[in-house]
Amino acid sequence: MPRIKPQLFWLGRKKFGLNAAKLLPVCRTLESTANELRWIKQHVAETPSIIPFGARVWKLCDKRGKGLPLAYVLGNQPFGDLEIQCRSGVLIPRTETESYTMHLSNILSRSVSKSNSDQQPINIIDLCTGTGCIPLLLYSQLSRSLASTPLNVVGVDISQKAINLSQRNLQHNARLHHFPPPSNLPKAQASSGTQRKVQFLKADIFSPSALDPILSSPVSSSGEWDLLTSNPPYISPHGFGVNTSRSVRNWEPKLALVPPVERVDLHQKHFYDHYFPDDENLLEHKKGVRYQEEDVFYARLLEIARLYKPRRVLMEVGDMEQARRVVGMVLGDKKLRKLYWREGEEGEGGEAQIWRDDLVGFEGYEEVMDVAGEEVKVKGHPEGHGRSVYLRRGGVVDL
Amino acid sequence: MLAAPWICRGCARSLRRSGVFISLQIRRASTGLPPVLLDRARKLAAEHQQLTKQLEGDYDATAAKRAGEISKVVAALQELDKTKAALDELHGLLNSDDAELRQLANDDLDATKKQLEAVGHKLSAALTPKHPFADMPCLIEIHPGPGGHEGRHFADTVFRMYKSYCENKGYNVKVVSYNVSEDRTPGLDGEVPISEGVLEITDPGAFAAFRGEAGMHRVQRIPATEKQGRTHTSAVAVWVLPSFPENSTDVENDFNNPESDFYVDPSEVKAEKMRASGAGGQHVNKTESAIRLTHIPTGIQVSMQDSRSQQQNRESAWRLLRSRIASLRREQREAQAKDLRDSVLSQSQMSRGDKIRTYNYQQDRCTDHRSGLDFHNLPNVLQGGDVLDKVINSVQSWLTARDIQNLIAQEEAQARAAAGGSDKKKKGGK
Repeated sequence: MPRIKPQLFWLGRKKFGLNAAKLLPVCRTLESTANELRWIKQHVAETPSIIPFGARVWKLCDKRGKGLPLAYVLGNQPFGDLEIQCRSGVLIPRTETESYTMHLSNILSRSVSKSNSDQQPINIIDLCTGTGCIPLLLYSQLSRSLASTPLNVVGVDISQKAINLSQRNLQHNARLHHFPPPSNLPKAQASSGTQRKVQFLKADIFSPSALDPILSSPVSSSGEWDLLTSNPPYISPHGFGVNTSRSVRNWEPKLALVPPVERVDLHQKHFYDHYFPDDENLLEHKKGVRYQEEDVFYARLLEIARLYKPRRVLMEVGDMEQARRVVGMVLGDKKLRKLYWREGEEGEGGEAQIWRDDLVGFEGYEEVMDVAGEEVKVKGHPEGHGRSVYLRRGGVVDL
Repeated sequence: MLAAPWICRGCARSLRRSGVFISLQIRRASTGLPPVLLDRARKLAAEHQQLTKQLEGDYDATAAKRAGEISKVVAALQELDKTKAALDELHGLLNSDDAELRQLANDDLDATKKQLEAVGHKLSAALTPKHPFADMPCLIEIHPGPGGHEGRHFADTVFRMYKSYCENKGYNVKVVSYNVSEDRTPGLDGEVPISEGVLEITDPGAFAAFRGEAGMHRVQRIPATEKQGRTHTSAVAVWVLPSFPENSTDVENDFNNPESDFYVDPSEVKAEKMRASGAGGQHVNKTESAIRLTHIPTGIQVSMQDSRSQQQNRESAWRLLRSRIASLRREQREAQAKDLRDSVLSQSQMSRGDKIRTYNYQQDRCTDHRSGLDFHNLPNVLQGGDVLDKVINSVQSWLTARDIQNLIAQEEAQARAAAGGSDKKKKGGK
């Protein structure tokens, strides 16, 4: 990292005052310093307190100057049209996540409004939900575009902190009227006739006994999952030390970033035994394969997809390499291949796609990439990183 | 007419000050219509008469179509004439000897006057060519001109002027962007130097209300930074762009429709985040949310960094880009139309570069160079008060008159072009 010129400190202090000198080591450029200072001042001006304005700005700049991420300093982060509250111990929502979630909600609302005439409820589950940003944004967008369709949105996380925070975010945004309050909130008005539900539940997604009751709930009422989303930990232990930025490493929870090593073995040993004691569905060469450490969550997520066959699956990934590996996992498994890949007949079959950053506004971009001998569509602006893997079941149509 | 046959100059001046003359003038031209409009209406009525006569003889599709187009104007004009006649009659009755009759006439007078006004509006609406973006909301962009601090300071004043004007008039106004420039020397009355300001007025029809404001606004005053008391002249550019309404059902202005002016092919737009990031996703938690869009064919560049949310910045940037491109396309089309027209009117053709208004602090004066009117009480103008409203209205009526003149000139030019190739040959020979 290049040294910041002392001249810049002098200039920043002259232009923006002493606060800028605090922020500069973290922001590194004057432009970004000016922006962050403006946001901090805006935040202080909007939240009333008896402590004087200047003192509060100074304190927040001091905190930020020590490297604490801005979202933790201000306590929130805009996400789509929502304001997501952030507390240390829970991962901050990223703009990339925002981008693909918006795109996904566009696809969903377009397709559902065309096909769903008998007002079947839409079931959405988000695993490793964190702040609850993905399910809340989907809920907000869908409750607006599909006003009369019942919604059932579930978020699952292993951390109690995350569950508490996501509950708070649900209430916070309902209070700010960013979306109509779901009918399971105690204070919801009975006036809106549409049944909408949002739940956040604590469960370890690697433990079938905890997850199965949640996953099988719509199946019991003759429904199925319309969408499974997840932004699981996907950084390898080595990458965590090398590729992450300092404020991520120092301040954000490792639990949300790096899959625990012991999961790898646990997953191999326990879960195939549990679900497929005498499995002939797995391709021969896939048996006993060892996934890369950072891909464990995808292996588990795909297993859930095999069992519960959600109509659409979206998983965030770290880069194009990881995206290719995940698509490779799908193509390497007989059953998943049957579900999510165009086998045989044209058009009716499923599809696996890779999405890059910057999808919204660049829907037209598309290229084809060779993964495991198959041609996989890659969507989004060509300069963006590979950001997510999207699976669509056979017979499901996107508009 | 005045009651006295002759008035000395001093009295006349005091009368003028007290507004007697003005009210007299208003009373006489009670339709409130510009004379250009009435002339045109009469011409159209004559044409309509001729057409109907021609159509009685033998049917011609184009003539019938033309007659149908102008029949609305003719009907309005007839109505206007009728109301005028009724008003004259009432005025006559007012002078009669019968007290009861006078009473009746008095009662009717107000209603008839109101009716006349309404009919006048109808006529002008039927006559005025409608701007294709007239019904849309608009974006007002304020950019300081060259001239250092002074221009930037005044840009802030202009920004606040429009903002409070909208608030006073009850428009829904939103600040899209407000960039304070880096060097923040304070100006007069707490002005902050700004490098750019964008306001969005979301009411439909806002574009029609504000389109006369586009152009260079000139300021003449002694800046706060001036030590020797010299007057400086600097300028602020104001752009008024039609904004894309958020959920429009209008096919013509739907930005997904390639026919629309607002359509921008995403493949022609280069998007940049301000910093090329490394891994992205969970690896970093950057706060840079700036977005810069470049439209490659036209070279139009938009950058947005006001919000913490990249999504919101992107949306505003796209909206601004669409608006700029649409207004550029519209300008190009107008320029083409202008080539067709006579060159007589080209002087009044307004573009972004022309100086349109002067704010003079020493003389407490605001002059609009198009309507040619001087207004005093500058503080009220800068606070977006009634005087600014008057200024804007004067420009509006000037614009309407100009539009009609342009239309007439264009029609004449077309008629001349259609009249014969012999003219063209002559021109070519020259």
